Amino acid sequence: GSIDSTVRCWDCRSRRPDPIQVLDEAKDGISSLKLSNHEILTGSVDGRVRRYDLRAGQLFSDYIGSPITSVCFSKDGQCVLVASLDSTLRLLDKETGELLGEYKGHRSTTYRLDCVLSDRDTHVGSASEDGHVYFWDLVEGSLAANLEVGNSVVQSLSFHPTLPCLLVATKGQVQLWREDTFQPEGDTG
Amino acid sequence: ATAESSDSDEEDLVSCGTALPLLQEGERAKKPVPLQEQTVKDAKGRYQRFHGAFTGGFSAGYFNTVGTKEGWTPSAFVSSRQKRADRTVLGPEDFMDEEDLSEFGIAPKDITTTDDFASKAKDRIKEKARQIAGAVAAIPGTTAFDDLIGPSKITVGVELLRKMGWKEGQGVGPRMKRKPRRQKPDPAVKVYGCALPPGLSEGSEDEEDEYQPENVTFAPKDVMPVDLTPKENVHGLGYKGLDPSQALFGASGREHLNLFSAPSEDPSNLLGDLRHKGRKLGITGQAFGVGALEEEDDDIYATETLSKYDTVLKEEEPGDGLYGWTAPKQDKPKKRSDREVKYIGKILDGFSLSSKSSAPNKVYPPPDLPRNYRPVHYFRPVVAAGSGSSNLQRALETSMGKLGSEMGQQSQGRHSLTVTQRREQLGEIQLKGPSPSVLEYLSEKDRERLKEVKQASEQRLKAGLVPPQSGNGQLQPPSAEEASNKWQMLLGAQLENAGSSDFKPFARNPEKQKRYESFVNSLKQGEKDTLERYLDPTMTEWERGREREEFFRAAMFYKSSNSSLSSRFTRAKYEDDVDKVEVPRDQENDIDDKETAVKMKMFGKLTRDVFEWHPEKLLCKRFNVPDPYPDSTIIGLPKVKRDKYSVFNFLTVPEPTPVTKPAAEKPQQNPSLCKPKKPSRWDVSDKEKEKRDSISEFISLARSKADAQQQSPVPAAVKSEPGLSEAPPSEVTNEDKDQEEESRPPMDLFKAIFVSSSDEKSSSEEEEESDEEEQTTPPAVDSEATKQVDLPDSSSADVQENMAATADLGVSLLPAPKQELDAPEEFGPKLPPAFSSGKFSSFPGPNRKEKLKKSREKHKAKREHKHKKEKKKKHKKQKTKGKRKNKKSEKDSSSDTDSSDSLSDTDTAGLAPRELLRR
Repeated sequence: GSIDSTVRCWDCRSRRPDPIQVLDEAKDGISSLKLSNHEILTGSVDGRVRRYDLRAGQLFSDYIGSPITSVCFSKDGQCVLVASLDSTLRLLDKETGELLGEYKGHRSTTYRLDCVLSDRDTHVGSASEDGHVYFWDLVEGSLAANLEVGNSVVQSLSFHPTLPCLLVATKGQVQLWREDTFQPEGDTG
Repeated sequence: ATAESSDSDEEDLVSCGTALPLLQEGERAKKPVPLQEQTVKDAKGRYQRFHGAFTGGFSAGYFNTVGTKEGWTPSAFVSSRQKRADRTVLGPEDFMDEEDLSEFGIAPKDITTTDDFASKAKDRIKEKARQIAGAVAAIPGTTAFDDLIGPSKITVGVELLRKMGWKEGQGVGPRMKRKPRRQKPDPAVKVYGCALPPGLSEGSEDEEDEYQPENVTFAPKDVMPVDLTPKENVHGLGYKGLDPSQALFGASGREHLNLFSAPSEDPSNLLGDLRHKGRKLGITGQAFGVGALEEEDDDIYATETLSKYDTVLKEEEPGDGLYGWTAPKQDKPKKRSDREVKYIGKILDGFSLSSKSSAPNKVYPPPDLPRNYRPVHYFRPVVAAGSGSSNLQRALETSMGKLGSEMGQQSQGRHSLTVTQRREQLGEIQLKGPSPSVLEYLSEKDRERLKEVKQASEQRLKAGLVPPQSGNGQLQPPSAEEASNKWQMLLGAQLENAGSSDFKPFARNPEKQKRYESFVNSLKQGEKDTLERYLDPTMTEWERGREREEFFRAAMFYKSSNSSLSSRFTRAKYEDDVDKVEVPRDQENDIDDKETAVKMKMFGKLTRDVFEWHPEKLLCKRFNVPDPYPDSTIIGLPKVKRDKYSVFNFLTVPEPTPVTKPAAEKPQQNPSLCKPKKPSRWDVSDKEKEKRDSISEFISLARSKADAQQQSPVPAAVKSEPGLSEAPPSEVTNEDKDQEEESRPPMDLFKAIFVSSSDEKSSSEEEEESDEEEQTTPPAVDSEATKQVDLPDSSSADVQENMAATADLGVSLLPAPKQELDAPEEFGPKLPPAFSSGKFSSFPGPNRKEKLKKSREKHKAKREHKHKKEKKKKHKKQKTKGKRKNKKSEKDSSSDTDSSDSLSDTDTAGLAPRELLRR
């Protein structure tokens, strides 16, 4: 995904420098890009989430309105989590595009902030510009946790795919968050 | 077809080619066989065979004659013991096809006079030429018998000449008195070039001359034909390869021939030179060349004969070697050798040794050296050359070094002189070449004035102003150094940091652009004087000056625009010159309605666009997914070519205000205005409908005012006989229309045939619907039937208003049953503008009312557009709807166009609400 509003697909096996396909449907820069088994999910600053389904040969374009900062698939592959610059996270049904949930409370107006789904799709998390990481209950939509990471913008956020383990990047720091019961093996730094 | 028509019209016309066969009644014209399917046949009807087995090469023999992979079938052995007598030797002809024996085959068999029976004697000219060429028969005496035996082969030319009194042996031309001149060369006369061979069969003629009477005219002497045998090989001059036919002779036969030719060396012989050729009567040609180990390779032009080689092992042959044995004719070879002493090597064929030896070259002795000569040279200081071109002189001196100029001064050798020096020495006037500066051409006064202007401009320059063109400069651009100075100051610093040359001011003229680029480069490097050389030397001085000025200005502009502007613009996505433009077939809908949907958190169908998308094949492979469109060649979204300036491209842009509508309407009106000139089928159809629908008659009256002209000829025919004959006249009048219309199925024709005015309802469901509307709509919209029918269409307006209200109030969610109404809401705002043609833009809700008002005024115009629209529509339904539109109120018409629009459009912008609901 590029700021020139294209998604370019290269073939890593061949050594060709030019992309095999350029997806130039977006009208503005691509801010987020995720792949699933047979899909390419892109979030663009033009306020649309585009999902290229290779298997069906179709492009689904969902209009969100606000510039998209981050998109991600749920683990079950049925939902799409979309973070946009109106300080809102939206959970959309992948197939129909219907809104399943909306999560607010954090601040995301200027930076390209990440959003995550927890390892078992129970919670929805997002970085925030107020130095916190917010977690909502996926189904209820209520704020579940508010982790104070630092006092500046939380730039990046990543959840472990299988373990309850969160990696956070903020100003000059990378933090690893685990659950309370977790006992680090040996001497961890 | 043309011949046919011309035949029927005028008999006296010349018809070219074969006329096409007349078609039977009801018979369809045969499709012509396409070129790639046409095959050629030979005379016997076999496909693609024009050669025999031998002529056509391997494949011909393989495919045509043999035909099997095994090739030739080996013949079984048959014992020929019993029939040894009639055993025939098979020749190659026995295996040949008739194509091989035909005219173009490998062994053509046509009746010709074989050489055995052809006479050579009668054709003496030819014979002579042949003899001179050396390609003579083995035995010279045999020609005598040829005279006696055999038929003559005389060409027509010879025959004609004979009839005119020519006799063989004579020359052609007027008879003349022969002067007693002798061919013998006068010893006093110098002979240039090659001397004529002395004994070229002239002896006998000369002898005859002695007896000539006084008053007898003679035919001119026969001219010896020049041997014009072209040299076709790549051998050296005079080389002759070994003749294999003669090589077959035995050695003894050769000896015999040599002996035979020896006595024929008397001067009266026709071939006086034969003694030279005596050796050639044998086998000639160089077969083996000079061996690598042989020491002498003296004579590469020697005509080698096989007689030089021993073919029989025996004692050394006496005679030639002169070893101890004296040959009977000793003096002859001696004489020859005497002559050949002067000429080393063999004499070439056709040449003979000159009898007179040329005078030896005079050898001049070297000059005597002066006594005080010392072979050491001293350099003297340079003396300045002439006044004229001291610059050039200096440059030359530096380049040549001091030595050269010294030498030039000293010896005055012409190579060491410069051009100007030579010119001065010769007293030539200086050529008017291109002067280095315009200033030189100007008078003193002008120069003064220029200086003033220049100073003034420089002052202004310093004040930070852009230098204006001086009045003089308009016609006479400033001189090179002046301009470059001026501009250099101006540009100097800017160009230092000028970035890459994306800026192409002369992109239209690539050469000029190139010049400009090199010019800018040199400017950057600060070379002032080199600027001149980038300008086109073929241009006039004035042009160059102007171009220089142009370049400077462009360079200035380049700087100022480069940083500020170029960052804000990007290259055009579509080229300007192309009329057609590739636009994505499906475009994402405008976001206005989506915005509202998002506001109401109604994600889903309203906010979603689904397109057909073609992934790359390799991408599918890497994703381990089967290609969804295995046959498609497109990648990405399917695109369509559209006219660049087509209205359809812009109609997707949401129209902010209805004010723009009239402007956009204008192009639509134009076709309709020119319509009366060419009445179309569609007009006819309208008339037809009018005839059927009594309701619409009064509207047609209003219409007929507008296009009374066009209707006058056609409806008469239509009304008189609404049957089969209706279509042909309309088609005839349609001749000038484009192909697209021609190919359209004449729906009205069908209608005229199959649909009578009474049973319209039975045709189709859509028509039923429209008919219902037709009957009910003109009054108020109150009746039950109308409501049912109109609900999907007309409700959209109401719903839109509702939606707008709800959106403003901030009602977040609508109840589920309302969803059905909401779906049209999405498309409700997207009512087409009044000009309805193919693709329609959407209308924002609030504008609708205004539009409706306006549409009343435009009612008439709209009807005109309907023609246009109908052209675009291929469907019958649309036509009926368009017809219905006329009678409806404004509201109905707008909603009607909406529905028809949605049905007609392939674009998602115009996707039908029903269609969406169906999903």
